[in-house]
Amino acid sequence: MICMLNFIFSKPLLVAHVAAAVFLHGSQLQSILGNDFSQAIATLRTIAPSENGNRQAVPAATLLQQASGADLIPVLTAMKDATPVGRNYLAMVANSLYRKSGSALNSQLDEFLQNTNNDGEARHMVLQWLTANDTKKRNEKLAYMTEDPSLELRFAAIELALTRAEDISDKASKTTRLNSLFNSARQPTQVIAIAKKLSDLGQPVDMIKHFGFVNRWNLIGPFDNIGEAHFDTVYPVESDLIGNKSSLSAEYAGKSGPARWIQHTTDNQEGVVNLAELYNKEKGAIVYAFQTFEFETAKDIELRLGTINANKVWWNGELVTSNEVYHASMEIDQYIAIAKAKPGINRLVLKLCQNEQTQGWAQDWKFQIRLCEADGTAVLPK
Amino acid sequence: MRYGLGLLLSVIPLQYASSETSQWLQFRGPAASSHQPQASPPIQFDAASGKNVSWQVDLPGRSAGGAIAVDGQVIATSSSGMDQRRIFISSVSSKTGEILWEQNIVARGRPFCHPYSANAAPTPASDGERIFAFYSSNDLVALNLKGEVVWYRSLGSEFPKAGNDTGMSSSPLVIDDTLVVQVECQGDSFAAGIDTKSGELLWKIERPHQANWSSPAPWVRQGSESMVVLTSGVDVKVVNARSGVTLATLDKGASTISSALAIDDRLYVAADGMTAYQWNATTNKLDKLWQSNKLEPGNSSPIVFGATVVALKGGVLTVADAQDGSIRYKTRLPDSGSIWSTPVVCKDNLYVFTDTGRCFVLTIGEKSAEIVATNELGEMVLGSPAVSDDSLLVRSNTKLWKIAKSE
Repeated sequence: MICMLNFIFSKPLLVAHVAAAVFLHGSQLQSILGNDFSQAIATLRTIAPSENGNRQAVPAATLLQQASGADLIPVLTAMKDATPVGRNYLAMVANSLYRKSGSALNSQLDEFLQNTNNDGEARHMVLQWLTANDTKKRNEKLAYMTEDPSLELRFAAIELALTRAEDISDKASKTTRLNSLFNSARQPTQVIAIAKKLSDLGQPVDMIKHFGFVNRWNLIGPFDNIGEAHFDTVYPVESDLIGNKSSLSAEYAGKSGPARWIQHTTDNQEGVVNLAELYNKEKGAIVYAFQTFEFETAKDIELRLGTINANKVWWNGELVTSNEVYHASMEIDQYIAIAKAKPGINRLVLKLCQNEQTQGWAQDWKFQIRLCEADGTAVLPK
Repeated sequence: MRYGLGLLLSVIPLQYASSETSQWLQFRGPAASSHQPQASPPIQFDAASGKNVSWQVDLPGRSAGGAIAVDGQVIATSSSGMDQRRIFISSVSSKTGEILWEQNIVARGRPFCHPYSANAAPTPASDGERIFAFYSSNDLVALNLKGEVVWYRSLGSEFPKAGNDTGMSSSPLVIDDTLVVQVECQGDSFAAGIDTKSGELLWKIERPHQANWSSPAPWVRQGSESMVVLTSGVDVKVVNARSGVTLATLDKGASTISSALAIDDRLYVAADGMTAYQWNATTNKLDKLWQSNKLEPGNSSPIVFGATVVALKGGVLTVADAQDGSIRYKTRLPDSGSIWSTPVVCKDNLYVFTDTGRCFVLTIGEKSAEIVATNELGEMVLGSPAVSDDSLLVRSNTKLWKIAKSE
C-alpha cells in the first residue's frame, strides 16, 4: 500500500481497530463506569478525523472524564496503536484523570514510563507528571533515554545529553560522546546541531549517509511553467518516466529548446540539489529528477521530501505526494510519503516547479529527499 | 526544552471573581476593539526591578500569540519539543500567578513555522464557559474552564493540504455560539464556523489559495445579524456568523497580516493604506467612506477609539480622524525594532509592545502623542496584550506576565 501522510505520528485506521479489539480482550478494565468505560475507550481509540469522528468522540470523552483517578492507567495503556486523533482525546482524558489521582499512582506510572512497549506519547506525558517542578528527577530519567523508541523522549534525552557533553573537557571523550549522540539522533535539527559540534572538533560526519539523502541524480529540464500553469501538465517526459519508458539518452522539447538529461551529484551535506544554480535561475520552469534504487527484499519505507517549490513525487510509477505550494519555507522531512520498496529495481521520479515570483526570498528552486524508516533511520539501498 | 508543569492536584475551584472589565476573551478583546476605556494599567513597569509586575510565570513552551482572561483565569498556549509538536494550554490564576491546570497534546497537522514564530501562534478565545485553543498546525481544542476536553478537531488531518510551513497565525473568533477559524494557505484554504458546544462544523467556505495570517473580525450591528469579516490578499468578505452565508464581498486585496476592525456601522480595513466603509442596510453593501495611503497599518491591526483612528507601521504611529481619514499627526517610536502585536488603548493611553519586549506608553492627544513611559520586559513579545481590570496580561516568548500596580 502506498499512501501519503502529512504527519509523522499517524497510523492506519485499520491497525487501530484491530489493536483495540486485542487491547480490550486482554485487559481487565475495572471502573465505576463499568462497561461504558470500556466502550468509551474503544470508541476513542478508533476516532477518525472527520465530522462523524467528532460526534462519536465527544460523548465518549465526556463520559471518561467522569471516571476516577484510579482509572488512569487503562486510559494511558489504550493510547497504544490508537488513531492520532484518538490518542489526543485519550491524552486529554488522562491528563484530567491524573489531576484526580494526584500522586497515588506514581509507582505504577513510573513502571508505565519504563516500559518502552507503551505508547511513546503517553510515556512522555507520564514523564511530565512525574517530574513536574523537579528538574533533577527529570534529568535522571532522561539520562537513560537517548535511544528510546519514543522519538519525542529520545529528542528530549539527547537535548539534555548535549548540554552535559558541553562540560566534557577531554576532546577525545567529548568526540566519542557526540558521535554516540549523533548516531542516536533522528530529529533533523538536532542531527545537524550535533554534526556541527563534531565538525568544530575536527571530526566531520557523513550526514548524507546518516539521513539517507539521495545525492546522485538524473535531471532533465527546463520545461514550461509560465503562470504556474503546468503543475498538472503531463509532459511526454513525465509520462515516459511514470510508464517506465524513459531513456537517459532521450531528448524532449523543453521550454526554450531541446531538453536533455544531465547527471548531477550534490555534495551538500543536507542533500540539497540547487536547481536554480544548475538551470541558470530559470523562472516559470519545471525540472524532473530521476533515480533508481535496488532492494534485495521488499521493505516499507518513507520518502521524505523538503522543497520550497511545488512538487510531485512518484515511486514505481505511483504518485505518492503532490503539493502545489510555492515559496512557503523548506524543511528536511517537510513532506512525508509512505511507500513500499519491491525486490529489485525501484524508480523515484520528482517534478519540481518554479514560478515567477520576483521577491528576493522567492528565488530558491531546490530540493532534498531521503529514504528512511518510519523512525527516521536512513534506508541505504544500492 | 523542559515541560515545567505546575499541575493543580486538587479540584479546581470554579468560583473566580469576574466582572465585565476583567474579561478579555479573544484576540484584541471586546468586539476586537483593542480598547478597554475603564482600565488603568500602570504607566510604568519594569521586569528587572519587578516594579508593577504582579507576577511572571514560565510556561511550558513558546508562543507568538497573546493571552486571554476568563473568570479569574489567564489562558495562554505554548508549543515545544520535537518540531514544536507538543502543544499546551495553560491556565494561570490571575490573582496569584499559580498554574491552575494544563492540558497538552501532540500536533497532528503541519507544525513547521519560521523560527521567529511558534506553532502556538494564534491567540486563544473563549465564550466564558469554554476555551478554544488553535495552533499553526490547525489543531483545534475546546476545553471547559476546568481544563477538561469538550471537543477536539484536527483540521490539519481533516484537510491535509491545510497549512503554511512559514507558520499560520490567524486567531479564532467566538461569535453567536460559533467559533470562526480562517485557514488560508496555498493548499486547502477555507474559513469555517464550528458550533462552540458540540464542535460540529456549521459551515465551511473556500477561500483564496494564498497565504494569509489575518484573523476573522466580528461585526455586531445593533438590530442586525452577527457578522464576520474575512480579509485576504484578494478580497474582503462579510458573512453571517452562524450560517457562513456571504452578505457582501469586495474584490479588493487587503493586508494578509493586519486584521479588520468593525465598529457600529463602520468597517476599517488595511487596504490601499486604510479604507473605511459604511454598511448600507438598504442595499446590503459596503459603501466606501474614505481611503488614505498615509494611514497604513503594518503588522498591527487598526484601532479606533472615539473619533480617532490609529495605525502603526515601522515604528511610526499615525493618528487620524476616524470620520474622514485626515491625518492629524505622526509620532516615531525611538528604537522600536519590529512590532507584531496590536497595541491596546486604556483610557487615553496606548500600550505598544515591540518584539524586544519594550513597551511604549503614549498619551494620545488631539494634536500630538506623548511618550510617557518606556518599559522593558526583556523578552520577545509578538502577541497582543490582554487587559483585565487595571492590569495588562502579556504573553512573551516563554513567560506570562501580569502588569498591575504594586499594592
